[in-house]
Amino acid sequence: MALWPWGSGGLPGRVDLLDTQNDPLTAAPVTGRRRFLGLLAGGAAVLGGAGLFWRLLLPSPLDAKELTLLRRAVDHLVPRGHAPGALDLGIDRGVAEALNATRQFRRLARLGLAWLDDAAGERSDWEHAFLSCLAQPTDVPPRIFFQWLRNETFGRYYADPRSWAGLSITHPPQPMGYPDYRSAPGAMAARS
Amino acid sequence: MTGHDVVVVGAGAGGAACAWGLASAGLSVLLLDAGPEFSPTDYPSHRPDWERIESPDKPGSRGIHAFAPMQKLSPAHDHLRSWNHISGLMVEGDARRGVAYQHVRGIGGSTLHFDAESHRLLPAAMTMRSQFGVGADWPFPYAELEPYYITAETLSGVAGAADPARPRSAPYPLEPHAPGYASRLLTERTRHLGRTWRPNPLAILSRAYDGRPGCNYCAQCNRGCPRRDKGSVDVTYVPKAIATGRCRVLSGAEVTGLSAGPDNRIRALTYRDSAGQTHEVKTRCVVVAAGAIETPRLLLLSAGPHAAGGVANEQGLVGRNLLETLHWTTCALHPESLGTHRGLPSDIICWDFNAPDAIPGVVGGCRFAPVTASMLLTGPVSYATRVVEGWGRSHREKMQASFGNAIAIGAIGESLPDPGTYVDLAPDLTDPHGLPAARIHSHLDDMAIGRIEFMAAECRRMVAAMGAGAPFEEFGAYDMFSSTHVFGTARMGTDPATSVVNAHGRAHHCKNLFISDASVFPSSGGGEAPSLTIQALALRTARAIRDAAARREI
Repeated sequence: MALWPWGSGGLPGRVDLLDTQNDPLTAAPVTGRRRFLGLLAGGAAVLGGAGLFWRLLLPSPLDAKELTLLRRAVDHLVPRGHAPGALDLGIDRGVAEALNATRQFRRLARLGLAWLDDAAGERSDWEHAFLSCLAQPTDVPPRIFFQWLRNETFGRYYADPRSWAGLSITHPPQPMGYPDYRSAPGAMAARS
Repeated sequence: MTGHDVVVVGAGAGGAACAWGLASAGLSVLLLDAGPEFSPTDYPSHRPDWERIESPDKPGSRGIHAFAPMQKLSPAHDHLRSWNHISGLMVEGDARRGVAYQHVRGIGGSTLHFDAESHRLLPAAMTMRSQFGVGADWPFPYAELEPYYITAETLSGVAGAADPARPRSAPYPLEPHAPGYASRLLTERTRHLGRTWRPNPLAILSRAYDGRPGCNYCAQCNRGCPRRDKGSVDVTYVPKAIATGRCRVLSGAEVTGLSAGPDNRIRALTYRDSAGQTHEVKTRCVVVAAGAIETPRLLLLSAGPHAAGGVANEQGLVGRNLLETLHWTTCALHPESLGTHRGLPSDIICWDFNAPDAIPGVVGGCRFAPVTASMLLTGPVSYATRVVEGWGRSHREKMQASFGNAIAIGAIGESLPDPGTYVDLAPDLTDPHGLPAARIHSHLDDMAIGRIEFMAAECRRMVAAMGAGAPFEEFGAYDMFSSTHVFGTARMGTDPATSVVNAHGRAHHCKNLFISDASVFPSSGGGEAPSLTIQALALRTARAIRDAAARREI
């Protein structure tokens, strides 16, 4: 029953605009794409005026300020604790690479990061920024960007076994498998 | 290219089984598939980032298809929408959406990603028209198929336990797998609801068999099995067919048309290889086994001077009667440590509502199973993105407390024909060769929605009975088409006015054309996985071709 269509690193939602297998702009049906472009333009006008709007149309790679904002966002998603944080594992660099890979993602990132920075305010309150973003409708660019960023950051972080400390998983599924599958978790280890 | 008695198009469950049946009966076979070959080393489950790698997936392993606009959704059925507690509705807006036809192109076909469920049909599900006044009857009874089921189970290595509802003439070749820890709890905690569970028959080896090792319970069956203990047909029928010395297998060979002659026979077929070269193969007999979406597409693409509306489409029935996967799944987090990332995808099954008249007020049955692994809830990435809300240290703490505790109960139900559910050629989408893609139309009638409603209610009851918390995700066919089991688009029957092929899969009006996949199913069954029945039918069709060859009819 292989019915789940998005893959575990994908997103269980926003079928039209949040398909990570495709660019968020080109994957959308025409009506969604037009709306999305309109929202981008509207968002740019609110946040950064004409300068940001033109940068969205001809997007260069993320600049140093944007990469710093991205690092802060990634760090707030997975801070260092008993396990290494996302920055310790270089997750921010992989996320930046993914965002810089296409013009569409650069556009989305540029707008999303500007929105989050604005919401975080002078106190750099990223908790407030994230919560404010979640209060937005699910189809506006900042929310789409945040959902993508969350999935991409967690996806890359938890694909690194250094992040598994404290989880009841110690190895990939193969080659060892789980011959203890009939027992309560940890029961076999406790007996031995 | 000449020199083969039979050309088989498609190396999935039907094509591979048919090719083996033909080759082992002494006929020479050319087995073509549009997709690539896969090897055990292609699968990622030994890698720490296995969850982020699409698998089985290689260039050419996915076909393209279009979806026609689908029906409006009713606020009265909002409780049947697909959703996740983090990302919200999976399909926004007020219309049902085509999301996916889940399939794999390649040697092994969709058995490369199947969960290896190997079900026999319930005999009553084969007489839906005569007993229940819906759908169509199969043109032969269960008893006719039973010996072929035995052969298919033996070749695939099915582990199972006798089921009185599905009579059998010999035991399963392998003893059933012991249920996993969470499945034992599910059995115990749904007993008061009256639910009964039995081992799910699986083409997964419960011990070493036929030169393959027993399963080590990694729960990644649908990402491709690197050990070869899962009986995908690339490790069962295909090597055995090649070993006869009479079967040649070509991957990356996409058949683009069948040429019908004036005598109602296929004279040749054309295919394009992976380098883009076109080849023509003259043949005495063709078996099309490309699945219930691509098979009708190929027949319709093959319209020509002697097949005006497409090959075998004299009555305009090719592509009609599409039956889809009518499904529902409820996922929740359990407070106890269950270790549900381990084991088999669906090690037990509940057939309590499988009979066509088992669901109150609705015709057509369903089945239930634990489907945590099928929903890909087996690694930390899926937990971090789909199960655990938030971010930061609290997210980390919840990850530690919850990993391995997700449970998913899923149901699949009968799909009945609907005039609005069919396959045709897309007017505005073509494949890389410039040929029209298949377009999927789907419409759910009130009875289908009623069946989903029942499945959803029961899944929720079972999840609650397990002691889980509130669901974090639900996913069903009400608001989206996401099907892996598809059937019916070249229906078999005795009457050429209402069916495309006869009881042996032979086209009524094209004597050297056979169809050997789920396209021929007159009914879907009440949630049974179709692979084993496809194989049994293919073996029966191979027998008919052998007999026809002996009579010099082909």
